Amino acid sequence: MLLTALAVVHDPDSARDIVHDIFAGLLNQGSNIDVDGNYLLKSARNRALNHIRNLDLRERLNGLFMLESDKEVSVCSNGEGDLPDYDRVMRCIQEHIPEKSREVLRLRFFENQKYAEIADRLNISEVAVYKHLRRAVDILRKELTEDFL
Amino acid sequence: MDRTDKLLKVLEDHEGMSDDELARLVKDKENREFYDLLRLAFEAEILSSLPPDYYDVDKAWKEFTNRYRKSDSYKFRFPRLAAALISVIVALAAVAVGIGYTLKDRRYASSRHSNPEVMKSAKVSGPKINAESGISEEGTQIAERETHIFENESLASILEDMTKGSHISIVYENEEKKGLRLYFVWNRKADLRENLDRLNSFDRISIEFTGNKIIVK
Repeated sequence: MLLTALAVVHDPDSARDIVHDIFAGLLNQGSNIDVDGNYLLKSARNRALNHIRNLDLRERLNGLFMLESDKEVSVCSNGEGDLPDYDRVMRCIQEHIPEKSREVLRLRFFENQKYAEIADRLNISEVAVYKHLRRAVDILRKELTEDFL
Repeated sequence: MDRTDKLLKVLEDHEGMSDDELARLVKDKENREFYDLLRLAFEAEILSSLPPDYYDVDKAWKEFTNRYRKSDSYKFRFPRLAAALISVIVALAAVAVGIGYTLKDRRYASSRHSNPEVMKSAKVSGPKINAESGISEEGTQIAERETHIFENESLASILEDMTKGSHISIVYENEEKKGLRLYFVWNRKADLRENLDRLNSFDRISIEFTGNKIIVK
């Protein structure tokens, strides 16, 4: 449930709040509903989608959120949900992308820094920042497109 | 400048683009795939950077119980307080009605022999009081009204009833879903979102709620 929520809201604290609210809601409702894994995962997904529903397109692009709230995060009842294999994605990033490009990728998207800020921080030119970023995303596309898209 | 260059540039700065241009850009299939790939990498990075105790169930349970206790003071206690007040009011009303009818009974008793039909009709028209609990049937009906059972009702009519009086519109992306027939217990005390979450637990139903619109997929 945490992962399902986190994959949508991108914020660990918000994801935890969403899961807490679901269980608090269940306690509050008493025992008059049937609860199974599928119900819990769907609740986590729906609450997470509601959490980002007011973001406009620009905000979604800035935070790399889902572009449409109705895009399915498919879930199944095995407790973990049918989420992408994030471990595999992370291994790809660590094994295939050179360290400097990896750092640029992380700073650009994970820390949401602009090219100029990254250039200052790494003491390289903005053109070099862009080249590292481009190399990183080309590798991602080459390694992951077939399996994930 | 190829497609990747353009999308990276837009993600860096899209101030100069209109909303329509942006919408067109992300509608493009290849751009969208590239964006989703970046999103995937971003989410993987988030997950890999979580503190090791993020999945600590004991810690999460403590946080949950602490929060539950805190929220109990306003969120969870309120319905109980309201329920207690309603019970007291119903009980007082029952007692008052009982006293009223006792006085009436006495008045009628004095004229019983002269007009027995009046006594009979007065008893029949008064509210029924449960002899053991002292709570009127009306009180029981109030409790029953907190839930409503839809038995073999169509999804369309369930949603219509649940949103009656609000300004929430209902959109069916698949018209066939309107006719799905369900057994569903509507908890009127819970808010609409919670009831919709419960409807979502049905395999054949997927509902999104945006605050003023319900989208049935």
